[in-house]
Amino acid sequence: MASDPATISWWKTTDHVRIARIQLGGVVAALLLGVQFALVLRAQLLSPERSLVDAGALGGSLTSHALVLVFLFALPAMPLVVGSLVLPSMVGARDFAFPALNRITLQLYLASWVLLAVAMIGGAMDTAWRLTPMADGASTWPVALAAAGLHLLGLTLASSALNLLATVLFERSTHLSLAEVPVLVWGMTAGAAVQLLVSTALASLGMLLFFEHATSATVFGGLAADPLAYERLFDFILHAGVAVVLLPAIGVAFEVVATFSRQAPAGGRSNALALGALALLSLGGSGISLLNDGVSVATMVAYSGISLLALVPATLLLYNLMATLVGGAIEVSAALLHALNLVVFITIGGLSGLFLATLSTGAYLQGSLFDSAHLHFLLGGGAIAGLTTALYYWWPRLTGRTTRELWGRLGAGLLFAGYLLAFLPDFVEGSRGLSTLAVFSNPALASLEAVKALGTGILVLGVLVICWDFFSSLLHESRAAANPWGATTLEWLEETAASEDGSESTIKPYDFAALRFDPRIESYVLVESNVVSE
Amino acid sequence: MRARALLIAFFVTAPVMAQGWMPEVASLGAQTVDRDFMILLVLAALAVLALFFVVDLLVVMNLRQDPDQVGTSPGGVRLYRLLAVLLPLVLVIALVSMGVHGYIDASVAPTDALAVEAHGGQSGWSFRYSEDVETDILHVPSERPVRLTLHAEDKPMTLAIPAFRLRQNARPEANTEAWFEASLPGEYVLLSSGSSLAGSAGMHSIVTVLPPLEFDSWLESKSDVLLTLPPAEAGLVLVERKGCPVCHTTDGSRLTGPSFLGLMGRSSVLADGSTAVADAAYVRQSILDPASQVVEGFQPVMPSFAGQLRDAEIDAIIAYLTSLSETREAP
Repeated sequence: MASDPATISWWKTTDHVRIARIQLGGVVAALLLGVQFALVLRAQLLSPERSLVDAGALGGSLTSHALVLVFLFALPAMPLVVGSLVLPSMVGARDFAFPALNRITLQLYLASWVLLAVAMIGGAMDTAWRLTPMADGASTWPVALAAAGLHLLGLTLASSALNLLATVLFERSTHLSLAEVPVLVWGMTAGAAVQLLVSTALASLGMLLFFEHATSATVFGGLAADPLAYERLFDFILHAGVAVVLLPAIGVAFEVVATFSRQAPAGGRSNALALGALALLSLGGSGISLLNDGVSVATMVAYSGISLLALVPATLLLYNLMATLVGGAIEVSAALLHALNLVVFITIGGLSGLFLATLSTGAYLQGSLFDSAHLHFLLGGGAIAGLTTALYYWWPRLTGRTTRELWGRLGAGLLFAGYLLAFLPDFVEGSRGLSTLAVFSNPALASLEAVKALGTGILVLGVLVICWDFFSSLLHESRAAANPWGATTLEWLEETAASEDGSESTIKPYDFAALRFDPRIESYVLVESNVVSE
Repeated sequence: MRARALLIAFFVTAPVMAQGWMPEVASLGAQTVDRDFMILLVLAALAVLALFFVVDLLVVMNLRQDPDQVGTSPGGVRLYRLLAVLLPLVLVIALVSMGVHGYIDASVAPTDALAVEAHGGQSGWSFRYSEDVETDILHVPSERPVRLTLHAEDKPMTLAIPAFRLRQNARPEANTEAWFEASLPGEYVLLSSGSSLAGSAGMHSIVTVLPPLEFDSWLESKSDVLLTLPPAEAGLVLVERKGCPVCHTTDGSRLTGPSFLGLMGRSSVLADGSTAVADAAYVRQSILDPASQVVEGFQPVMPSFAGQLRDAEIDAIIAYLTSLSETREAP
């Protein structure tokens, strides 16, 4: 390998951290690109007569915004970045169970990125944002390319799910039982199980849609076919996809809150049960979107129950997270503030779900901007805040650099204010019956449009501040301490343990008393009695 | 912290604002939806408020004094954990049953409801009350249930009337239904959005709610002219509805087509050189297949009305044309 030029060695790499760094780059690039399209949409709503761009370009921007942010950013963010970066070492494995498959995951992800990017450059996809095939729909090559991209993204997520599951189940350190692993490992595992189902559905959907547009085959569109079948499959991917994002994100929040409170997460194994229950319920969550399609009342009652039941495990997780703060030794850090952002976004997203899943109000609000805001808080807020929380927490471990506390807090504040200002007004507008891109403008709601624009500006500023903080930290010479936060999970302890010659760490996750702060190196180290010689 | 204070202020005022949040109430079912919405809004606002206060309080109370300090109560309290499962479970049951009540009321139309078919197409919605009455603006009576049967021409569409808290999807392959009972006469916003964004994104129109008696007379004026008018007068209405006067005058002057004045019984030279006398059969043929007998000097530009006019309607038009010729000959 030494003789390979640098680019070839990167292409052939099976190092999970290296791969995760490239995937992090791809995910961040998708976030920035998606935000660009969002700015076009916002500018249109603000412009007089709403005539900045024509209807086709507007529809194309919405499609691109949704595809990039849902499929290239939100869904891959947790498994491909956080999963790849920390999961193997968190369970005491050297690498993924299938390192070569991990490289294939990266290559598939990059390929789907390229296909979707070319599709967007190729022409405005002014179809519905779900790319729904219509009876009179003309086949265009950008849509065919985007469909191929979705297919490859399905394969990306499938291979990553297999690797995550196999690593947790078969590569775990013998010192760690499934009941003892950190909460993030439970979240990642439950998320990966859902991810396996979602990804296979996405791969099939992408392939069928590709055939529809690339050949004369009629699959969903055409007179004899049913575009609703397509939309239902898409809704399934979207609803279950929320679990792919949130279950690991909730795990991240638990790790951060536990470490910065210096005590074990409250609730212990009940968290594993709750995460598993959420995974199961997420599979039936898309049923509620049939609310206005003439489905029988009895069926809708069942779907309403399935969706609302998610409140039970979600409340338990929220309670356990808060109870972890009780009696803790709390240090308010940038990572903790980002974790609290995550909790707020998920809570608002979850509570708005109650309005949509309760049949009487849901029938009126489904498909409106209320629905869209719900999605933005859960999927968007969950993915953005989940990623920033994870990065602020693990950055010193992964890059050996420290970010600046002040910038991290500023970023958290901007993200918080920006996100709420940008998307809370959508709940009001949705209650007024408006849907996305409504041309109808209500003078009474003009001030809300201004609030949304202000929020979007603050949000973009926050994203830029955070990106600059991480980027500039790489330019600094100063090395970070090995374990600055005093974390107790294995990925932080590798070096601590290795530095003691021939010794091994014996501490379990969340055994905070086993670590003490060493002011000389500004890092937490193992208390002597926990280092045993072999 | 300031952002948090702002947010708290927002959630405190939200329930108060809620009356202004939702659009005006103009139907029976709207009140149920609003009541359920308010209950949920208060619940959600309290939950978010509680979250903020609890987090603030816990963080301030438990700040780390010394880097080696560890938490003193790991694990949490089992009783509270049990409550964190039971309370939301009770809430879920309450919400399912609350939603079902409103939803059943909103799903099952009374049997005596006025039936209206809504057709969604490229240019928006058209509403059909009977075979002959069709309008682009939905007119409904107040204080009387109305059942909408929705159908979309080629792609899924959504029809929403916020003041009635009504939103229903229409699909090309099957009909869907919705019903409402408007409570107050007036004009309300009707929003429609297409699944496809090109063209049909967010069009809006209005729905006109009339007092029951006014609605009845409106419907009568719109309904079948053959039943309500003598044949010649019905013919006049039909001729105007189909736009005939654009090309055919009734004062003898010549436009794109020959004038209707004195048409019946007139003999004309056709484009192919033959001569034809305008009788009932000639008129019928000209309406259904205009290109077959074009009068010399005119262009064959008239569209066929085959399938758009029933036989009885063509009879009425013939009666009207005949009446034009009689009035000329009468003096």
